[in-house]
Amino acid sequence: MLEIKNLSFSFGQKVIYDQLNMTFPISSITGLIGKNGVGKTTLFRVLAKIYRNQGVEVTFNGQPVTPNMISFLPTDPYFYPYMKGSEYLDIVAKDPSELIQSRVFASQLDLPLDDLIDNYSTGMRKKIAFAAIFAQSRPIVILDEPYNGVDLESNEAIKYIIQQYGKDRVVILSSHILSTITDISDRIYHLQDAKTVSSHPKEGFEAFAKAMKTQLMDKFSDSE
Amino acid sequence: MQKTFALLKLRLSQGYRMLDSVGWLLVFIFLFTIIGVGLQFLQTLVNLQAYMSLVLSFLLLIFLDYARPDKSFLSSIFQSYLSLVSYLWAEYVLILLPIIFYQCWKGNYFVGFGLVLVAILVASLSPLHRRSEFTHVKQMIKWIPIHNFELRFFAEKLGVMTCVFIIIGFLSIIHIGVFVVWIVLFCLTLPEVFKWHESREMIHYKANFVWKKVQSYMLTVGKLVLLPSLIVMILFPEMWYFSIYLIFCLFTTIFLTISFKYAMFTTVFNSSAASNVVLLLLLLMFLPGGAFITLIYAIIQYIKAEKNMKLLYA
Repeated sequence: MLEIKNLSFSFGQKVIYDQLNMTFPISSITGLIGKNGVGKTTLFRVLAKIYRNQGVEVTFNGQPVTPNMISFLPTDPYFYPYMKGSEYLDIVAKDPSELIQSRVFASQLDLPLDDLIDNYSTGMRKKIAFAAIFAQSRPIVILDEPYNGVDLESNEAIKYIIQQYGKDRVVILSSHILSTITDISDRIYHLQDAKTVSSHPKEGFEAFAKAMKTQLMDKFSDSE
Repeated sequence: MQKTFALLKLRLSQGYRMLDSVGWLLVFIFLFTIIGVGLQFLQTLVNLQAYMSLVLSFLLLIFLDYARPDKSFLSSIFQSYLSLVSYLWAEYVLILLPIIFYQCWKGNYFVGFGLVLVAILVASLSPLHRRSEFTHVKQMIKWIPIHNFELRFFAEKLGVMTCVFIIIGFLSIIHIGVFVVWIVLFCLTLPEVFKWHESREMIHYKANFVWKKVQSYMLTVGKLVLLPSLIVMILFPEMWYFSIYLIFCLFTTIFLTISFKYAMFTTVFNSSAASNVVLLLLLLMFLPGGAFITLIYAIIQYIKAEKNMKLLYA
């Protein structure tokens, strides 16, 4: 189990998190939702150790989490210029088995691996990064908006890959489209502000979606 | 180790593909000129002592390392600190290789070895620094006017490095070589500053738009380099013509990069104004008289830019 204890994080004076606790069981897919700017990406970067640790305790099966345990797909993945798709898969893979796996994912996502990534569209860039990162054999997978810019067919392929190959791992993903999360997640964390995060199990998704919709409609009608 | 080789191979292929897109004739002319004339010219002119190449190479690598955008990516693909440092070391030795060869050719074997150690030092320090853009705390640099937003945002993004860069300019007191490296780095940074086009709404077109922008930047950059240039001219009066040539190179770079940016400007989609031809012309500028070739190209780009902006906005 991945456990986050006392998550406090701030950018200077701006507090993003204040003493939040979260758990993510193995063999589960957890969706993370929240308003723009609430700190979803920040949470991912804290977990991936891109940000300096500000006192948060992150453990996996009781052991402190190291960057080697985490595969992280950022919102805007980095690519070297003049790099081919196949070369990207080569350098991200740790060993031949990961490389083969990433090539299988790439073919499922219809990616032209011999083309330069500079010529890829936004969705194709997201897909190649997803294929490379999801193929890493690390126990924790973090996907920051994996469906961004991706076409409908690939959207389904990504969902399939996450469900099939996410077993025995902790998968955390974020998205602003609720259905893409509810379709495959076992649980949703709803980040509301620095101190509040609510957890919703699979059986409560429908009620949660309805409540969200009603809340939003009320907000709009009040403002009118 | 396998990953290190794969990455190094990729970096070399990148270089090959980049040069391929420029045209090999231009590359060969450039290489012949720089090997035949450039190094000898610099050595004779500034009488650079061998040990100075250690200091200057260190500064160059620190600057490159600080600005490299792939740090998070590299940390994510390398499993350990040691493997990451080994890769960075190999890459930095490759970057310094021409200088190492040159020093060995001149019989300065210890300096050559020292350069390898400099590469190790910078590679070992590299993982300790993380890019400041992730911190969301931005230091405003108000002394660069907001209408020079490209330079201002770039300087704000680099944060501390901007202050270090300015301080290095004043270190020209030590040796004119520092001033040379400072101006060269400044010139090579400018294409990055003007790389991205602003959105079409940000442009308030007036007649001679490009020229006014060039003038405004020349004024800002002029203020910035005034004092270090005066220091160099006073302390190294025998090199006054060389200092003036370097400043001329800097202003030519401003003229070229801004003109090129607006010659390529389009309102249809966001595009990058980065060009390998511009980069090579900038390097060519540091050879005797090379700035005049670059200036001619810049004038052509300037005419295109004014025409382009007039067509789009007037």
